[in-house]
Amino acid sequence: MSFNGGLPIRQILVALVVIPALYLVFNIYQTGSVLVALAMLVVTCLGALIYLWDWGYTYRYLFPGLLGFALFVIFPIVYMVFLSFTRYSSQNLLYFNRSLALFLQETYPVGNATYTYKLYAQDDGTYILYLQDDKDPTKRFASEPFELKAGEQVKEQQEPGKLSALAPGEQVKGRPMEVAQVTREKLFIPMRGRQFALPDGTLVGMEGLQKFASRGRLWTLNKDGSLSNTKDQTVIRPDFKQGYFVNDKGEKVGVGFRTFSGFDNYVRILTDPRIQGPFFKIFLWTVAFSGLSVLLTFSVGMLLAVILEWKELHFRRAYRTLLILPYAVPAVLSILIFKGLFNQQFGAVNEFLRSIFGVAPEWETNPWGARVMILLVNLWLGYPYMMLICTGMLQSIPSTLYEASAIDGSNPLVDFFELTLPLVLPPLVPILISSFAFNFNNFNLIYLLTAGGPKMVGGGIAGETDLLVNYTFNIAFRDSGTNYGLASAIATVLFIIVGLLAWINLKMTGRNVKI
Amino acid sequence: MTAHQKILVRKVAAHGFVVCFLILVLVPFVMVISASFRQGDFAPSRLLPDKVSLDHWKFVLGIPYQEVVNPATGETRTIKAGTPPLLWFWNSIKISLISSAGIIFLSSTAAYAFARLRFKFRTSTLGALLILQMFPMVLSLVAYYVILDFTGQHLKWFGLNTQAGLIMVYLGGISNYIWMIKGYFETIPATMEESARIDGASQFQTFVRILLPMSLPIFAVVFILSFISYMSEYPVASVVLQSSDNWTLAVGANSFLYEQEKLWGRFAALAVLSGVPITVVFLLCQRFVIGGLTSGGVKE
Amino acid sequence: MSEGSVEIKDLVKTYTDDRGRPTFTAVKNISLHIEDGEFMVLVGPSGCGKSTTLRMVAGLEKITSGTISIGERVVNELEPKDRGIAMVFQNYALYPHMTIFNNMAFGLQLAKKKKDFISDTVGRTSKALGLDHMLERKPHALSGGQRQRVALGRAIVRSPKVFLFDEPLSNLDAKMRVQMRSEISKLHAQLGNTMIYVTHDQVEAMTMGDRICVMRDGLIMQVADPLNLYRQPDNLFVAGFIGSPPMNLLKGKVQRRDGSLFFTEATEKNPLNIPLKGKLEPLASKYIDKDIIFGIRPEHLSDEVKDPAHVPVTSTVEIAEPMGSESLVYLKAGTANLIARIHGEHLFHLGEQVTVQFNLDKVSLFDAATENVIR
Repeated sequence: MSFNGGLPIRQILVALVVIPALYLVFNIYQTGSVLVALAMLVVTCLGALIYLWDWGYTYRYLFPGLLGFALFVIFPIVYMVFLSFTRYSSQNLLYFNRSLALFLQETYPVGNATYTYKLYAQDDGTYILYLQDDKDPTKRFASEPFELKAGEQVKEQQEPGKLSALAPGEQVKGRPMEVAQVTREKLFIPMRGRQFALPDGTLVGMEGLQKFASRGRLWTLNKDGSLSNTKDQTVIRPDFKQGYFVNDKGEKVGVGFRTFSGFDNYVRILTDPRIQGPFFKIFLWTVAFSGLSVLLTFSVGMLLAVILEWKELHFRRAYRTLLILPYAVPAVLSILIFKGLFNQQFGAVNEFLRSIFGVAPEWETNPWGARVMILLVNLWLGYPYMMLICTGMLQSIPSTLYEASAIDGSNPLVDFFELTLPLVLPPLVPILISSFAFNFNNFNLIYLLTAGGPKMVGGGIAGETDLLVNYTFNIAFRDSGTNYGLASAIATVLFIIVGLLAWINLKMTGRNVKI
Repeated sequence: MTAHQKILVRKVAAHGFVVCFLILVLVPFVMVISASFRQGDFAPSRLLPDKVSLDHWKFVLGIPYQEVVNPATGETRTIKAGTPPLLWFWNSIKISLISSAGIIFLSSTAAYAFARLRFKFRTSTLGALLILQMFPMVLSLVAYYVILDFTGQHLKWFGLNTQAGLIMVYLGGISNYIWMIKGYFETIPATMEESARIDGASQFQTFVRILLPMSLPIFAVVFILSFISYMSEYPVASVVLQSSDNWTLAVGANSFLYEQEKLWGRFAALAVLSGVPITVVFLLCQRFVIGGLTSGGVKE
Repeated sequence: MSEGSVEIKDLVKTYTDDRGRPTFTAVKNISLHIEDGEFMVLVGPSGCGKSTTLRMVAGLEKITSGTISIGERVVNELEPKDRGIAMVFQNYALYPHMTIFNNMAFGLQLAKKKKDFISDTVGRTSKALGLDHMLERKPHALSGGQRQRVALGRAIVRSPKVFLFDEPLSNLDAKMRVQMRSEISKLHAQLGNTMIYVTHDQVEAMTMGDRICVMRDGLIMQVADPLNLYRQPDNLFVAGFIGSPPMNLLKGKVQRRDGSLFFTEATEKNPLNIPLKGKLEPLASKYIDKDIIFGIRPEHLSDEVKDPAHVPVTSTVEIAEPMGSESLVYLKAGTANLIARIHGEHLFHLGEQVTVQFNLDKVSLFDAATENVIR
């Protein structure tokens, strides 16, 4: 970007980007994400090299685009493939270290000392805890001020708050709150997650809503990585295959952790009847939906294109403009509009059908009704694109061909099937394939129109109209037992299918178009 | 039947078919408009509203209005949208405009390299771009969440629940546009740039002063296509944007249609209000788009 | 003195693919000297390497090996703009989004010349080319000839030492082409600059060039002025390429009969025999019983004896194309097909027996093995 003479604009621009980037790298490094910081450092240096040294000239044009592509297209794919080999779900949510830490923070009441407590609200919004020993009322303690967020559970275990003994007659500052008030203001929820240490080191924590009691650590870590229960002396050890701590009887204890699972998720797709059944049914429907959508939109689009190419027809321009409308309206809006029109009880479609034919198809509750509706809506959304493409193709056929066939005594039908279609179809194949691939992953349509409904009987979270991509989405995000690992495995399979389609398409186009 | 009559019959049939088809296509639009003016919340089902009311429009525009709570006593209450739905429309426009501009910048520079410069793995990179882009964005959501959660910790404007974060994610989807623009660049004779080089232009000047101005038509196409696709994007926006004042049109419009309470009237008013300008812009640029679609899809 | 001379030495161009592997060699070691102020035409069939050579002179293609010097300076590593050249392209390469003025001024603007200087230079040049009334128009509003002139003007305002033309007339219709041809020639006479002109059209080459360089398959076949090229082709390729209709080329052997030498056509039946007398005799004597090719231009076949060097050959008229002052007559002599360009308004009839006179002074003999002329 530098011009001969004058300021070294390019160097200044590079510096303006690189310096903040390096600062960011340093920040990230300090928070402990060493790998990310390293990766960013490499990318920043690479970028600086490309923009400062002459050999990188070509890459100056590619760098920003490919960087974005790498971050938001390639990284998610790699990440997903990685997840597909792990056990990672709502049951196995945490990393092993976090899960272990949770065990080590678990406490249980020891001894029989109980304490009555009060909270003193401070002016700056913090609180001070006041404890009084039930047996020996002269033993009184107060904490340092701490924060409490009403109603929010404490997820991260913090250092126990320090309690110091109060001299006789010493008063705690602030506005005292009774137990009832603490309960009402939902302050007990964060309080339950906190621990405090008496001056002698004994830990105390909330016992019920009324009292505090002294507590001891439930688990101790042994050298071999197992945990011993201080209360009943049982031993549990991590099972990295299951992603759980298990006791001697093999029973799972506590919360699970993320772990590598090899091909388990893939095997599950093929063998687990709860997954396999819906998977293949959904796969079939996905293929059928994509195929039929392409066929329908292409047929209607082609028919309209042929009619509108007829030079003697009046109002062709007006017709064409109006027919393109569905393509111009944002699809989200149209899909939601159709959701209303096909409403089973009150929708326009059924009101019309009821008043004319006396029937009211079950678009929402009957799987076949829902499927027909989806295809109809997708036809409405998709035919204008096909019409535009076909119009372009038709206009590239020289009209002398039709004049010649007219002299040979042809008619429009023969013209279409013997001349137009054979000429137009081969160059359209790549477009039809990419349209197929698009519909294969047409998440929006299904998600917004039926949300996969109606539910598949015995299919768990699978819906009768779910496409594979929606099914995967549901497994990952919507199910109460979200399972990222399994979802990633299905997504990988999905990607291979669609990627293959794209590759075939590329090879086919590659024959007439040089890259 | 004479030849003349035959053609007449065909013409009538063609007109009849197209008109019937058009009615089927256009009726939904009319019904939505009618639903937006209809009192109460009914799924679009009538060509004309029975009871006309402007309440839904007022709600969408953020104007307070009176709603009868108890018909017997005539008691009313004032209703005003917490977040004016029009804001979602504005958010969508903003996000789509910036993303589309960014897309043009990123994809035109990359397309230039692919079309005009020679480097290792050029063809394989091009193929990889096309194939990898086939991976549905929806399934990248877990990764997007991880990325934005991370960036948010260090750069708070690019985190979760920020529009800048969403735009950043959108800028990844450039490969189709790279292909389109590259195709167009290749139709421009290389002698133009060679001539400029002899005139003393540097490579960058050739790109900016010769190639870019000559490629304005394809930029218009790419801009419109990407704009429309971002206006319609739902899943990523719904995950990234959490607070309602950040929502886009797609997320906001869908929020009116909860399973329990479907606010069809408000939805319809919002759909008309935001759908009409986009549709009009599209139709105005129709010629560009059609040209771009046919030349992009169908190589001569 | 010689600041516009161009020296090409051992020039080679090998194209490579994306990964740097050589794909094919367009120019295989050529050397050529072009004098200051000379109009040099590079001519040859498509794919002969003439355009590649020109583009290497311009600096648009990297040189694989060898050197190019303009003036006394080696320009291999110089940017096009620093070589003192201007180029006119086949498709004119006018910038469609700029006005004619800006098209012509673009190079000067990039060189940061003063505004007054630019408008002055462009104004003067456009006036000379008759473009001054359309400076504010854009290229698409101009006719082919006008666009061609703008392209010329754009080259002129750069005031280069060397003009490069890459088939500049092939996009014009026949009439326009003739007109522009003479305009470029006139321009050369006025400016006196070195010009290198690439064309595949040998008529253009013959009419415009001070010297002509004929190329084939990346090699130079012959460099000569038009007349010498026409009269004394160095090899079969040049003989066949230059001249329209082309030279008659007959395959055969030299044979000695009764003490004199004959060219005998290489067929079994009824071969054509032509005596090789005069200046041909010493040439042919080295090739007795060897394959040679006998070449004679159509205009050196006549229907009357004008010269002692003429030898008669009997032939039959197959096609006659009367063109007014002369006729092209397609003849069959023995098994050989001959074209004769015969002056006069004589009408030839199909199947008519004609005795054509071969002017042996104008005959070229070629070695059939090397395809080179026998000297």
